[in-house]
Amino acid sequence: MLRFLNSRELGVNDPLVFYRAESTRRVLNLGLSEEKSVEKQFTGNVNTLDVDLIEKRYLLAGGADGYIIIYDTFNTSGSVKYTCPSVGTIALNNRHRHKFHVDTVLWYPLDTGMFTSSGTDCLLKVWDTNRLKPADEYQFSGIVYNHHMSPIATRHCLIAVACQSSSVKLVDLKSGSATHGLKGHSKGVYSVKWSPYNEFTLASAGADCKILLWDIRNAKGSLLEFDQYNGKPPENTAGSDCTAHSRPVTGLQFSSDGLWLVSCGIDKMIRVWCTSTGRKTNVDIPLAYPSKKTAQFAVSQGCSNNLIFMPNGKSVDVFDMTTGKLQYALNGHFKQAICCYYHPDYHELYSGGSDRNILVWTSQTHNNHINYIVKKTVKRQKLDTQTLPNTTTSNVEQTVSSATADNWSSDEET
Amino acid sequence: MAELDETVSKQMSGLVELLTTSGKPTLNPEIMKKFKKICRTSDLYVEHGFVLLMSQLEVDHAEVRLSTYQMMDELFVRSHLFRELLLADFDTFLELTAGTDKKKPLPLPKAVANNMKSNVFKSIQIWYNKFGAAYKKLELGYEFLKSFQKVDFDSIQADLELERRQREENERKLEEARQNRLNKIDQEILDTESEIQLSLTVVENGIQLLLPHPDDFCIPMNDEPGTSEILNKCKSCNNIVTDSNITSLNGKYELNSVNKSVAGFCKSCDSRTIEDEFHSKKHKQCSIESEKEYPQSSTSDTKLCDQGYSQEVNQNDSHMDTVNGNNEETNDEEGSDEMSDVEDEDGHDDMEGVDESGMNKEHGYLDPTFSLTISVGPVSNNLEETEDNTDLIQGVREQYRLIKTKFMPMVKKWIQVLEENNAKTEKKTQVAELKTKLEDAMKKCVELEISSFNHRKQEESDSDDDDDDFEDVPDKDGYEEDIPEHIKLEAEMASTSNTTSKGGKKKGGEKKVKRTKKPMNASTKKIKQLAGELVASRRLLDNDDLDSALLKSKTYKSNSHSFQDELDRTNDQHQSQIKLLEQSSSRTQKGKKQSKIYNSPSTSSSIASSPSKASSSKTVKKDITPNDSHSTTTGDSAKKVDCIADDSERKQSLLDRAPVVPYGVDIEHWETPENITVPVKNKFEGASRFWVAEKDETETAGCSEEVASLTRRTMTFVGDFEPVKWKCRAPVGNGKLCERMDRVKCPFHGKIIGRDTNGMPSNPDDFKSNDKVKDEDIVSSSKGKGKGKSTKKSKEKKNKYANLTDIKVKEDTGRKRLEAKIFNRSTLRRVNKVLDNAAMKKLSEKFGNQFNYSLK
Repeated sequence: MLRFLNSRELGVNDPLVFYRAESTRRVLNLGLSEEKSVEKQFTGNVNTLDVDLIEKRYLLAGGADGYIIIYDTFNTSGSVKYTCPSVGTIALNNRHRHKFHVDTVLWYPLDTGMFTSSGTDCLLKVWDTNRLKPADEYQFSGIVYNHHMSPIATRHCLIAVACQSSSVKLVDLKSGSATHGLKGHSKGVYSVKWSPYNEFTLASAGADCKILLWDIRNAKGSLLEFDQYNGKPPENTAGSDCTAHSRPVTGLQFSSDGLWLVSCGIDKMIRVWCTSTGRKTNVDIPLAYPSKKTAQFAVSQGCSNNLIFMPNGKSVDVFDMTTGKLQYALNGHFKQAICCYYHPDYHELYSGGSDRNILVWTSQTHNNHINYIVKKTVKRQKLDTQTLPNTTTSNVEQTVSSATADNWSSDEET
Repeated sequence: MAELDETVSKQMSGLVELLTTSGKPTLNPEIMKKFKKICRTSDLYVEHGFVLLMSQLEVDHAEVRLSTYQMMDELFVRSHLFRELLLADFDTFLELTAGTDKKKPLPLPKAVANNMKSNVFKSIQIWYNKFGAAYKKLELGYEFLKSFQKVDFDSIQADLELERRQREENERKLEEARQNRLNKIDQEILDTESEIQLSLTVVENGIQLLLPHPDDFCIPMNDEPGTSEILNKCKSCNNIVTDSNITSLNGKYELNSVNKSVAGFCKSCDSRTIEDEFHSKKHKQCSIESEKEYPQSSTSDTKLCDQGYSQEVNQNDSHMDTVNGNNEETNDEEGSDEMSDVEDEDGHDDMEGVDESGMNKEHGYLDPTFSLTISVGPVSNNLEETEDNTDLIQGVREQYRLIKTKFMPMVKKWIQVLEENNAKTEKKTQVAELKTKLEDAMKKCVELEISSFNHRKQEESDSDDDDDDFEDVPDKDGYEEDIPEHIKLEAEMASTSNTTSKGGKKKGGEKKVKRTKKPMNASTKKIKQLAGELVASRRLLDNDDLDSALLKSKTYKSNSHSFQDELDRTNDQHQSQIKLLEQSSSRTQKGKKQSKIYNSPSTSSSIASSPSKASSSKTVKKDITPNDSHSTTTGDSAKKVDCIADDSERKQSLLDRAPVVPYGVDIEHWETPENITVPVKNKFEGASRFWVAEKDETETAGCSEEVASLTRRTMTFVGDFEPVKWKCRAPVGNGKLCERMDRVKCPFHGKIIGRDTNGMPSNPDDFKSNDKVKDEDIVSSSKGKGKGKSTKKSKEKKNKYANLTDIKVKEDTGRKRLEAKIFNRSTLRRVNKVLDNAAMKKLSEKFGNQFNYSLK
């Protein structure tokens, strides 16, 4: 890092190089944050997470029983240890809440005064953040699995909604109505995502194992279908259907540059697609415990090798997007991890699970360094006083400064 | 990164296996300590240990898991790395130990698993309290358990709190008790310290008086007019004393005469007592030096005076140096060991120097090679107890006794209590000082043999007591003379009267025996009288048949039950003979213990009065039991007689016991049993000429049987029937105890053994053997079903982890057994067959006439 800083100072390196190097370093060293935590308010699963794009400050979380909670992730307290407080809660006492699970929550990309949510009660709600009341509601015929707004859209204000019906609905917030549907799937649609590169490009994935890429201006049909065999299906496969996965596709995520599309399905595979050619890359990542429902996973931004954060059972597994290698696993949930969100500015990961927790994963680089120093000193101490257990001193240390407690209490040996 | 040592890793895995397969609810602390020691050396070993433990935790056996969890708990509390590792896999850990995943229930045995679960929750609570702040994951896990598993951590916390409080309370109580004890001891010390000090001073002073320290010899006698006078008077004799002393040093054989002369001279001195003592003392010294032995018998009192005197002399007269030296030396020799060696040496130096000069002066020749060697012989510290110092010694002795029996144990107890209760060091040192003082005092006493005085005294008294116990039996010969004539006559009369009133007076005679036995000590008079009687009876006899007399005397000492036989046999004997025996017995017992005499005369009298049975005097002789006690004359013939007598007596006793049976065939042909014949049966052969009965083939066989029936005798059992008073009391399936009352062995539960209230064998050995029996039973019973081999084999296989509970063993319930019987394939087939037949019968009855059914 110092080398990078130095070369940056001299102007040898592009700022992007430094940025990339540092963010990669951090992302590769994520661990359960000792300092930062999120207030526990959920009484059920945490299904979905989103951070607003304006300030990158407010964490929106939706869960079971219509719970939607807004957390403030800015640490304004001044102390290192910080628990993100909830600044707005839609709980059981809110009569406007969703009746059942909230499956997707989403900030309005341009303003934190508004967010949208959808759930199993077949409703898409547009909320006024300040009043915590829905400004608008859209009823659908089936369960709304997912909805998404384009983060970069300037010329339209459409929400793509994936619901049980086979067509992807597009809701125009300006007109307050579902303008049209995109028909191409034969079964229900599980996931929709707008491209972060092109405001009119939309990807959708459904129960029919297909992933379709749309240009919403073209109502006739999809731009392309992603084919898992890249046009060369093995001979024994029956049917002419062009499928992305062998089983229903549950999750979609664009890379931050919009060039790649990551999908996962309940066939226990993660696939990476090139959005321009529609071809599958050579990355086939097996997944042990894929979620049965729509999976919200995250892809890192600005790294040399971007990483996929995929909830996999109780852990969140981190894969290299280009090589498909498992980098590490984040163990912290005691039940199924359901969703995760990568915070591009903090290089943090938020993950929610059915153990009602939202966990914050921060880079452990500095911690590692501290640990290293501490270990060294403690080892020296140990050599000095091999026989004397330093439990008492360490306990004192622990009480004195809670931040460094673990480090000091760490290596006592009796 | 350093490499793991392979041997150490192997050792670690061995330890893990050993610990986890122990099957015990707690870990073996020693092995665990070893394991911890290894883990402590490096984090690498911690990591390795973690891997080992995690893999061990996955074993499907609750006992293994419990032990593994306990090991993990130990390491978790200690190692940071282990904590991190475990917390990284915390959910797995919880799954495996607390059964958080419903799909993966905890393994059998259930009780152990539940125990493990509760223990895990408890220790997680402890961990959380201790490390929760530092380990996020632990906190999360804790919360998870709390919210999802509904683990009542509050109650666990409360329990822990309660435990802690109880522990504290206990500690406080202990501390209180300790304080109380200390206070008590303090009080005791305060109370008795003065007493101890007093007794110590008494001992000290007493010893000081008995045996003063050389430093204390300087008694300023000059101040007293009386003593100075004496001194003046003694002056003249002093010179002589010196002379005599020196001569004694030179010529040893002259000693006695010189000393005597000295003594004689001194006797004439005015200063009577002191000088006398002094010279007698001198005399002793001389003898000591010449003979190099110290049968010292001077009392401390004389010594005291003596020494005081000599000191005085030392001051006054330069010539007296020798005396002084000698004196001191002797003192040293005689006296206590505490006397300083310096003093001793001084004495030697002094003496030698003056010796030489003295010799020069006296004899006028100089022997430069002359050297005087004084070898100090074994020192005897005895103090002679005289009238003068009796009180003193008595006092010291009393104090010694007090110290030994009372203060010493007390102080020892104090020290022990103080040690146990962590008392202050000052207190300890104080008591220790006291102890050393007491020990010193005791040592002194022992060295001066004041204590042994005590013993000697006691011994003396003991021996006196012993003497008292024994009656002084005067010499028989002397005794005989003293017997008055009328007593002799009386004895004669008594014996004749006894014999004449045969049988009837036996009881009375026995009574007499008792009477004489009872008042042992008091009835010496009576004994004497009896002895007198015996002697008298002897006198009356003309012929002195010593042999028979001797024999008889021995029989008297035979034990009572054979004696009874004796009685019967001897009844017939002539009166005079009895008398003879009596007298001889009294003779043989000359000078021996009186108690034996009690018996013999009295028994002889009872013999005389006992009822008679026909038997010759010869048998009596044979019946005599061998006895080596105090026979005055024992020839070879007598020994032989003894031998025969032994046999015959046995025979006699057997005969006495033998039952009387009726006369029969077997007795008739006792010597030739083959001659026994069965009485001939009459067969109806002559009834018809043609109808001849078939030859009985079993005739010959039956012959022997009949013979047997003839010779067989039935004896009725005449012993007492003892009803069985115990029950088997082995636990039975219905929770009760076996009620069978067998004498030795219960047919169901084996040998009858001691059992407690629950029916468990009270003796552990029994327990084991019982188990074995059971096992054997099971094996044999299952062998009957053809399963024995397989069970045995499986047992052997399982032997690897013998300590673990076998979870594969199916519970043996009544239902299982019934199921095995009812759902047996053959049973089912049989039942089905019967049912089918019944159905077929029904069908054929109903539809038998229809052709389609008839096909079946």
